[in-house]
Amino acid sequence: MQGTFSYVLQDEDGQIALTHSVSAGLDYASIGPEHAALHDSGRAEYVSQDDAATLDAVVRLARTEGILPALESAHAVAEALRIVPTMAAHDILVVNLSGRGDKDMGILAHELKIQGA
Amino acid sequence: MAIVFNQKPGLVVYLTAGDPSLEATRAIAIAAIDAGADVIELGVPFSDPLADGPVIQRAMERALAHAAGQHGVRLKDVLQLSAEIRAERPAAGLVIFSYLNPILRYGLTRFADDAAAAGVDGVLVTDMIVEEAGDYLAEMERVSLAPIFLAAPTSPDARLEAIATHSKGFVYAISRVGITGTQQSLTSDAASLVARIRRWSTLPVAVGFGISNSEHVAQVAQFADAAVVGSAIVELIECSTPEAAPGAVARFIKGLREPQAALAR
Repeated sequence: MQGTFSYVLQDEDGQIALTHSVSAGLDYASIGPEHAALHDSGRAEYVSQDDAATLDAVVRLARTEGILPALESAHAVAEALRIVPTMAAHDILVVNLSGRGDKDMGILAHELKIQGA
Repeated sequence: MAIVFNQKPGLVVYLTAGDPSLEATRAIAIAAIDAGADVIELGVPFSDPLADGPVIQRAMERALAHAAGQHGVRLKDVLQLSAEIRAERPAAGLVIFSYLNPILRYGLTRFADDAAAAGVDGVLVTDMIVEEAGDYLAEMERVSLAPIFLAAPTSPDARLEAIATHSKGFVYAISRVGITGTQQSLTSDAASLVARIRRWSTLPVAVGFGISNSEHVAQVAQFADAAVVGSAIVELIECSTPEAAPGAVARFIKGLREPQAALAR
């Protein structure tokens, strides 16, 4: 689709599915072919997080660390929050924050019902 | 059953299959053939028709819309429709016009087998680029279907040569950059593109995208073998009742070859 061969959200007839994500950058029915190749080779494992967990992750990172992550990156923070309780105290977990949440302030204000911002 | 342009200029007529219904498309296709269309392109409705303008996109949305408990029009329905048209008009050229994803989902081998069994002559997959077409070309060759590729004014020589040498039936020259849809006048891009294609191919060259009246068809006839008319006909169907559409399309197609109409304009 759109010039790449990759994983696509689609129905049994190959029609592309409609999508929704609170994060505009993830609101797309396919993934980049590089990710598809990393998945197929087993070099990366892919997981998902929903809107509610992602918004919660934004708020917790902002309040505890003063870092406002982009909504896309906040999905990774949400996954980190999920797996941290299973880890030992000396384990190290690295989260890659690929973008800033400044661009998402309008969405955050709307979704978190913040007024007077 | 072959892609042959008996008249000059040849006419390729594009229809979105299932707009407004499969029965209506069948009646319109037969009326179009009887009115002088050499080749019918049956468009497979697709959710993401990236080469198409708003007119054909709307037609695809209508074809994909479905009542509760019913499917929108699927590739298998278009193949069935092709077989029905083939049974009624054995001599007409019949091309399946699709995007790649529905074919991948259906299965390339199964599609090739079923399209050939339906009596289709050729296949045009808009987003199947010739550089990645090895498996596709092998399947088309296996079942003797003509693969038709789109050549654009922006295609460099190396790609144009590949398109021209791997196409069968005809080469489809896109009149300009951009999406399908009507336009006021043809640019000079089309004529120079057709001349470039002829360096590598002796196949007929059909010019499409933006061909909407007899004036355009007469212009195309000066440098190419056939004109492809799509959006103008799809829009006519959109504005007609299903009952009136076959007659309206037939009159429109007859008018496309009348130079008097162009002169009077």
